[in-house]
Amino acid sequence: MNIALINTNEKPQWCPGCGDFGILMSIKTALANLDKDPSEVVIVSGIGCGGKTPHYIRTYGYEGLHGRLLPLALGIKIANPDLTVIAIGGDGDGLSEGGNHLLHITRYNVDITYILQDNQVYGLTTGQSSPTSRKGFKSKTYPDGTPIEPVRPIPMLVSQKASMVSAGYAGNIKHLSQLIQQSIEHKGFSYINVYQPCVTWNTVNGYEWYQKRVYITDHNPEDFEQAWKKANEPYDTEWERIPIGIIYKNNSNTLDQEVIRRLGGNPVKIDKIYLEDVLEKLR
Amino acid sequence: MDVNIKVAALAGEGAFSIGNLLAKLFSKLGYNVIAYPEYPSLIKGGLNVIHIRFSDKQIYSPVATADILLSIGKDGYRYLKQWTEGIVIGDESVSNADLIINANELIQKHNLNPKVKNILLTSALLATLNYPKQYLIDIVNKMFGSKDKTILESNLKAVELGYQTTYRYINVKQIGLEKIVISGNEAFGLGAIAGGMRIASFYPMTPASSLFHFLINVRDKAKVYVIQAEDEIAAANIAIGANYAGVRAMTGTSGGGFALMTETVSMVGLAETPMVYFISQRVGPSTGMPTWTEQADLFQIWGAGQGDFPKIILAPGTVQEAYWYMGNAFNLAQKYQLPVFVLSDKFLSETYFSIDNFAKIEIEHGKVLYNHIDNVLPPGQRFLRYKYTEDGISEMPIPGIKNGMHIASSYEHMEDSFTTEDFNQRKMQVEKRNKKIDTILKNEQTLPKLYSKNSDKLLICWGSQILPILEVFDKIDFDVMHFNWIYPVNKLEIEKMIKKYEIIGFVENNSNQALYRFLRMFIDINADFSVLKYTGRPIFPHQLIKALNNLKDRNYKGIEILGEDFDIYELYTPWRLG
Ligand SMILES: Cc1ncc(C[n+]2csc(CCOP(=O)(O)OP(=O)(O)O)c2C)c(N)n1
Ligand code: SF4
Ligand SMILES: [Mg+2]
Repeated sequence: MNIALINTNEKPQWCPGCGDFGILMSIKTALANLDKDPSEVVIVSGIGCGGKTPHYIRTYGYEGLHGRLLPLALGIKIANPDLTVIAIGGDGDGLSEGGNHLLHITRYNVDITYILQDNQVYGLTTGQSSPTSRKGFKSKTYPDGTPIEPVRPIPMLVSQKASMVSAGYAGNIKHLSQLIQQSIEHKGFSYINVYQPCVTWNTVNGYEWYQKRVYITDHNPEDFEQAWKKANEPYDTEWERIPIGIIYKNNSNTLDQEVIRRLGGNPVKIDKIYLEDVLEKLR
Repeated sequence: MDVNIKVAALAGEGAFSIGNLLAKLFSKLGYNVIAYPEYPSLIKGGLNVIHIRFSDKQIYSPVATADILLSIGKDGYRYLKQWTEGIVIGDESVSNADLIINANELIQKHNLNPKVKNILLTSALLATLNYPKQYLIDIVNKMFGSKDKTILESNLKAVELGYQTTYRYINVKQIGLEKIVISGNEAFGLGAIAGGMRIASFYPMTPASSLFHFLINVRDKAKVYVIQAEDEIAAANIAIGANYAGVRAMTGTSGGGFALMTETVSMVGLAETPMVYFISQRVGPSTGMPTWTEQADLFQIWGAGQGDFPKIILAPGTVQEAYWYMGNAFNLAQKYQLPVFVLSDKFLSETYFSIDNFAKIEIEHGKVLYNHIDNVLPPGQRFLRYKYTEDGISEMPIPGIKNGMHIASSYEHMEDSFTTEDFNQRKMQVEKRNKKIDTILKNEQTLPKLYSKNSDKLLICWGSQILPILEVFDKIDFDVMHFNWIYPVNKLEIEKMIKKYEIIGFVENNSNQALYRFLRMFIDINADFSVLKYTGRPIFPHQLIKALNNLKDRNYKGIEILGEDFDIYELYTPWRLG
C-alpha cells in the first residue's frame, strides 16, 4: 500500500523533536509494508499527547477516554475480527488510569496490538510524574525528585505471559516499524513498550540518553527464562542497558477466534434473529 | 380462582427452586402466574421466601396474604403464620402446621437420597390442590432424567410419597394453554435477543446479573457472546467498541456499577456511538440493601455524564414491556446514535410472570452504514461522519466499509470528525446533537401509557410500580398514567393529557419523589399527593388501597408514607432468627 493513502491533510501538532513523530511514522510504515486496506484498520487511542495519533493516520479510529483504550479496542476486535486493531496511548494512560485493563488484557488474549508511548512523564497535562517516572525524577508533582518507585510494565506483562511483549525506541524508526509489523502479524495480544523522548517535560531521558543505552536484543523470546532476564535488565542495570526488540512471545488461543467459534461466524456478519430458537428451549 | 402460596426456608435450602417449579406447574394448566422472591444478601442462613400466585384472571402483583404456607423449618411459620388465611403445610419441625409431612422420616424409611425432601414436600402441596400428578412426573423426568438413574428413581419415589397426602384444599384444573413463565430479567434478555443484540459485557451486580446469567444459559441458541469484564468501566467500553463496529451490544449493572460507567455515557454522547445500558435499581445509597427494591436512581441516570448531550431513558413496568422496550432500545440507539438506558429494579427484574406473546421487533439501523459507500474519499480527507443535518443525525459507516474512514472522537470535532476548538464549529455540533431530541419526539411513541376510566383523578407512576396499581385498578376511582418512556419528555402533549384532571397523585418506590421532581423540570405539573415507600420492598396492593383511603379523608392532599405492615424485616436477617 502506498503510504500516501493513510496520510491526512492535517500536520501533527507535537513539539518539534517529540518521539511521537517517530512512532507515527513507524505505524504508517508498518501498515504500508503490510499492505493493509486503510478501511480495515482501526486505531484506538486514549488521551494524552500520544493519544492524538489517530488524528494523523487516515484509517478508522476511536479516540476514547483516558485509560480505556484496551476494553474499547477489545470490543471492536471481537465484533469484527477481520479488522486490524491497534491501541495507542501514553504511560499515564495505560499504566495509571488504565492499569486494571492492562492487568486483564493478557487473560482475554484478544488479537490487538498495543503501543504504549513511554515518555516517563505526563506530557499533555504539563509535566507531572508518571507511573514510569524513575525515582528521583524532578517533575511538577515532585519538584525535589519523585520519591516513589516506577511500575515495571515489561516484567509485569512477561510474568503474565502476554502473547507477545516487545520494547521499541522512537528514535529507531526502521526497527520500530518492523516491530509493529511483527506485532500486527502475531496472532494474539501484543504489547510494545516504546521509549519515547518528551523533549519538553523530560529533559533527562532524551535521545542522547537513550542512544547510549538502547541495544537490539538477540535472545530467544520463546524461552521464558531468557525473556524474564531481558525484561528486567533495565532495572537490574540501573538503566545502563535497555534491550529493544521482541522480549517474550508465545502462541495461545485468542478471544476473537473463540467468539467466531462460539457464534459460528464473524459477529458483524450475523444478522439473523434467534428468538424462536430460544423460546423453543424455554417452552 | 386466585391462590397465593408462600414457600419459606432458610437460604440455601431450596425455597426458590420449589417456587419456580410450582410457577411452571401452574402455568402448565393455563393459569396466570407470579412468583416473587425475597431474600437477604447472604448465601447461607437468613430466610428465603417466594410468593407464588396463580389465577384464571389477569394478575399483576404479589399480595400480602397467603392461602397456603409451605414452611420448611419453623422460622417461616413463626413470621408468616399471621398472614396465612388458609392452611400451613410444614415439615416435622413445624409442630403447629395444619398438615405435617414427616419428610425426613419417610426419606429414611424408604432409603431415599436426602436431597429429595423438597420434591416430596412439593408433591404433598400439589396433592392438596388435586394437581395432576403426571405433569409433575414429566417435569421430574426432565429435571433428573439425564442424571444418575438412582437419583431419578429417588425423586419419583418422593413424588409418590408426597401424593399419598389425602388432605384436599381446592381442586385445580386445566383451564387453558401453557404460558411461558419468565422473570423480568429474562424478559429483558429475550428482548435483547429479539433486538439483534450479539455481544453483552457485564460485571456482576445484583439485581442486574441474572439477565446475563440468562443470556449465558441460552447463548448457543441465541448466538450471543457474553463477557464478564474486569470492572464496569471495561464492561461499558467493550460494548461501546462492539457497537462502534456495527454489532449490537449492551452492558448492564445497578446504580453502584453505573457510577463507574458514567464517563462512558458522556463519551458516547459526544462520539455519537449507539449504546444500550441496562440498569436494575436496588436499595441505595452506596451498597445499600443489595437484594431489595427501590426506584431512587432516576437523577443519577438522567444526570450521568459531564456536558450537554441527548440520551433516551426507558422504564418498562411489565414483562411484556421489558421485552419490547429492551428490544427496541437497540433500534433507538442506532437510529439516534446515542446512549439508551433501560431501567428496571429488583422487583421487576427478579419476579416471574406469565407471558404468552412476544411481538416481533423490526430491526432498524437508521443511518448506520453497513454497505459500501460509492463516493471515493479524496486523498487526505475523512468521511463527514458528523455532517450537519436537519434531523441532527449523520451517517455512520462502520469500520471495514470503504471510503468511510473517520475518527469517533471523545474530543469535540468538526463534520469530518477531526478535533476542533473552533467556536462556530463547536456551536454547530452542539445544535446538531440537540436536534435529535426534536427528531425523537417527532418520530417515536414517547407519551406515557394512559389507563383510563374517564376519572377526574390521576395516579402517575413509572417502571415496576404500575404492577400494584394495575392490580387494584378496578377498585380505585383513578385514571393511571405510566411513564414507561421517561426521557426525552414530550412537554406539550403531556401537559394536554394531564390538564383535565382535578387531582393528581404520584406513586413511587422511593423517598425522593424522583419522577415527580424530574417531570417538574420539563412540564407544568403540581401534584396533590404522593404515595411513597422506601423500605426495600415494592408497594403491595392492599397498602395502596389503604393509602388512597387515608388520602381521601384529607382531600387527597399530602404525602402518604408506607411502612411494612406484613411480615417484619427481621424475618430476613439471620442474626435474629431464633
Ligand atoms: C479521566 C481523566 N482524568 C484526567 C485526564 C487529564 N489527562 C489528560 S492526558 C493525561 C496524562 C497524560 O500522560 P500520558 O498518558 O503519559 O500521555 P502523554 O501526554 O505523556 O503522551 C491526563 C492526566 C483526563 N483526560 N481524563
Ligand atoms: S509535551 Fe512531550 S510528549 Fe507532548 S508533544 Fe511535546 S514532546 Fe511530545
Ligand atoms: Mg506520558
